[in-house]
Amino acid sequence: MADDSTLVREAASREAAEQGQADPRVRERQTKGVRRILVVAALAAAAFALAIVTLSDDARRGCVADAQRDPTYQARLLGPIEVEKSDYELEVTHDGKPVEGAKICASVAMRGMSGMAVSDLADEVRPGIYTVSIILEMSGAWKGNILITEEGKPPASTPLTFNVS
Amino acid sequence: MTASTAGPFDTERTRSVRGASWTAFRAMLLRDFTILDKRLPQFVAGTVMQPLMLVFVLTNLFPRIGQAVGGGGGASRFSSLLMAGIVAQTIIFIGIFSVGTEMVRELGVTGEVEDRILAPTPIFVVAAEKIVSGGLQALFGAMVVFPIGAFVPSTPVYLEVRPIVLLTLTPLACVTAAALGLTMGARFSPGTASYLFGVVALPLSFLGAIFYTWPSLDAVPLLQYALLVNPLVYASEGFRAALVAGEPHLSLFVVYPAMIVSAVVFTVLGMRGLRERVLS
Repeated sequence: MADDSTLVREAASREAAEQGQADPRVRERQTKGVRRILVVAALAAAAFALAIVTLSDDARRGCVADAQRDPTYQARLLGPIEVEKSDYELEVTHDGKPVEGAKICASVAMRGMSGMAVSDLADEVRPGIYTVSIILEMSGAWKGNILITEEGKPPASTPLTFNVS
Repeated sequence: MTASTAGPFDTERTRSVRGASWTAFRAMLLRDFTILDKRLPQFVAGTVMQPLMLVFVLTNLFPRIGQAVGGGGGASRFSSLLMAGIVAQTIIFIGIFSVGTEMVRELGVTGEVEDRILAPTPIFVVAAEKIVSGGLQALFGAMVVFPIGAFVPSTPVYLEVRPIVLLTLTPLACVTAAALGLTMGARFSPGTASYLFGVVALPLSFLGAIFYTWPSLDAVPLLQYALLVNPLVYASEGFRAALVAGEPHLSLFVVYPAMIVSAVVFTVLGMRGLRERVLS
């Protein structure tokens, strides 16, 4: 048996139909549906905005910048370089002096296997010393590029070669 | 008590064609959104899945198993230029599949579109509503690609956004995609709809400058110029201009007119096809 609220809603629907208007129950459902879609769209827009900020971060530019090779920059990995080790310290110098506050990106690949490439944005831990997270999955000779973007200077690159034991 | 003569079949209350069309347009849009709401999880999953899988395999998985596209320092560059292509591809695919396949179903199976044509509203309004509805869904798809590009790749992606180009090109691409979907939907029948993916979407996608830039096809000039018939090429190159710095791309003086022409041509073809289908 229908309860009072159902009867009231049905009467409202009949009245709306007689006046040539949309059924209030249908309208209510549609309003809820549109509201749900708007919430999802707003979430997508927020995620889009966050992603744009993240993807435009200058720190990421280090790995895609067009850089001239500059022999006055030097870079080397510190400590033992081993298979499966993931965190390395990278020393970057310019004319023998530590490069401080630069955006650094390391891209390396095993020699002769350019497909076996890894790259990472470096974080400075001490003046001129940066940490990079790269997993070197095979022992042997590796080579790569270090991209260096210093404030107010064009991006520069320097080669990096090392052996993984 | 005064007797009311107003009712659903009251012939005294008349509206202008424009007013009636606007009311019908809003009602159809509301109806499409109500249906979209009912299958919202499927829509979101379907929208996210394709760009997610492409970005995951090409820019996360490949570098980790030693098969990075571009090799060495080129992996980041490839990931960045791929983003523009995937935004364009997602928009075009949503246009084809949300508008196209829906139209095929509504024209060939349920006959819903024919019901709408019977309403006192021009066919143009029905077509325009399909384009607006599909365009908004494509816009949603485009927005979803960016978080995927920000957080999924294992090689850093860097975008240098040109806001004016992005804000003007995106709606244009969405309208073009929905108009393309309208054309496909009006031309394909339920029996041939399965070819939409294999015969239309796949060639469009692989030859749509998604994974490579159009100028890089210099080495294959015949193919390079043949691809200019593909609207996805203009969308990909336009988004490359809007998002990726330092990469050669088609001039925006070519991209914008080509996109506008594509939108107009596909809208006209779609409307013609729709008219032929419902009046036959």
